[in-house]
Amino acid sequence: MADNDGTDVLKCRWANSNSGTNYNRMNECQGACLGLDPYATLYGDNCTLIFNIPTSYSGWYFVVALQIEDYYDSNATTPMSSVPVQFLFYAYTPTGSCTTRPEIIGERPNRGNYPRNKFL
Amino acid sequence: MKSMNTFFLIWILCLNTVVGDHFRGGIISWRPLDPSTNATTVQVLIYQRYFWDRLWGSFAIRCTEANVLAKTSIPVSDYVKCFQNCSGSGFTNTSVSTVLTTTDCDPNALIRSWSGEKYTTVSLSRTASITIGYYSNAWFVTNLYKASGAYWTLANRINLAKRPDGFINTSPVTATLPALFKPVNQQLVHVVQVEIIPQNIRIYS
Repeated sequence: MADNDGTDVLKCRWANSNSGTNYNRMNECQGACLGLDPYATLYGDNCTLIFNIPTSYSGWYFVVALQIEDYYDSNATTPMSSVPVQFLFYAYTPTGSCTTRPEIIGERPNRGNYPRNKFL
Repeated sequence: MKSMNTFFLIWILCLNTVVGDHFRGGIISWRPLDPSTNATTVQVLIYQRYFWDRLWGSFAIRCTEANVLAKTSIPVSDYVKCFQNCSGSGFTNTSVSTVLTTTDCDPNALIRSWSGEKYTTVSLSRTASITIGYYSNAWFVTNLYKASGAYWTLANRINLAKRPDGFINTSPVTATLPALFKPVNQQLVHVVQVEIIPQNIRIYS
C-alpha cells in the first residue's frame, strides 16, 4: 500500500538572465529569455499563459522558457527546486471559414489545477 | 590567397556542421532514489529530454519511427555540468552524458524533431545544493523569434537539504512537446501541465 502526504505548491515563472538573484544563480535561458515578450502574460500560480501573437509573426517560432518551482507550502518563500522547461509555439494564420479555435472542454486534469499534487 | 579563402571556407563549413543550430527545447528534472536516506551520499536520478533539429547537418541519419523501435542513441555528445556551489557536491562534469535514447521522431516539416530521454544516476553529497545545466549552442535559426542561432541554457537547482517533513525533495516534472501550433491574432490560453512525482510515497511490505 502507499501513502502520499505531499503538500507541495507548484508555481511557474519565466526563466531569466538575472544570475545574481534567481534561484539557480545563473542565466537560465540565454537567447531564449523573454521569448514571447511582449505578447504573453504568465500566471504563475496555475502555470497559465495568456497570449496573442501578431499576424505579422505568422510562420514564426517562439520559445517559451519557464522554470517550474516547488514550494513546501503556501507560506514558503523559497522554492525547493527549479526545473527548466523550454518549448516552442509555432504561429500560423488560420485558414478557411473555421475561425473558432478548437478547445478542450470539460474538466481539466487534476494536475492542471492548484494545488496540483493532491491527485493521488 | 586562394588557399586562404579555401581554408576559411572549410573552416566555416566545419563550424556549421560541428557547432550547428540544432536545439529545439527540452527539460531537465531529478529525484532522489531514496527520499528518506540518511547516508552521507544520496543517489539522485537525473532526467533529460531534448528536442533536436531532425535535419541538423551533423546528424548522419534522418530519424524515422525505426529509430524509436531501435532505441537509437542520438549523437549529441556533451555533458550536463555543474554551474553553482559545485565544490564538495560530488557532481562531476563528465558523469551525465547528453546522448539520449530516441523516443520520438517527427518528420513534419514544421516540427522536424528528433527527441529522446535519458536517466542517469549520480551520487551527490547530502549537503549538495547545486545548479546543474546544459549550456551550449545553438538554437535553430530560421524564423525563430529572439533565440535564433543563440546559445541555450537549461538550468536546474538540486537541493538535497531535508524538507520540513524530513524527506529529500523531488523536483516537479511536466510533459513536453517540441512545438505547439498557435493561430495568430487572437487571445489564447495555454496551460502548462505540471505535476510533482510524489516523493513521499512509502511502500509498506
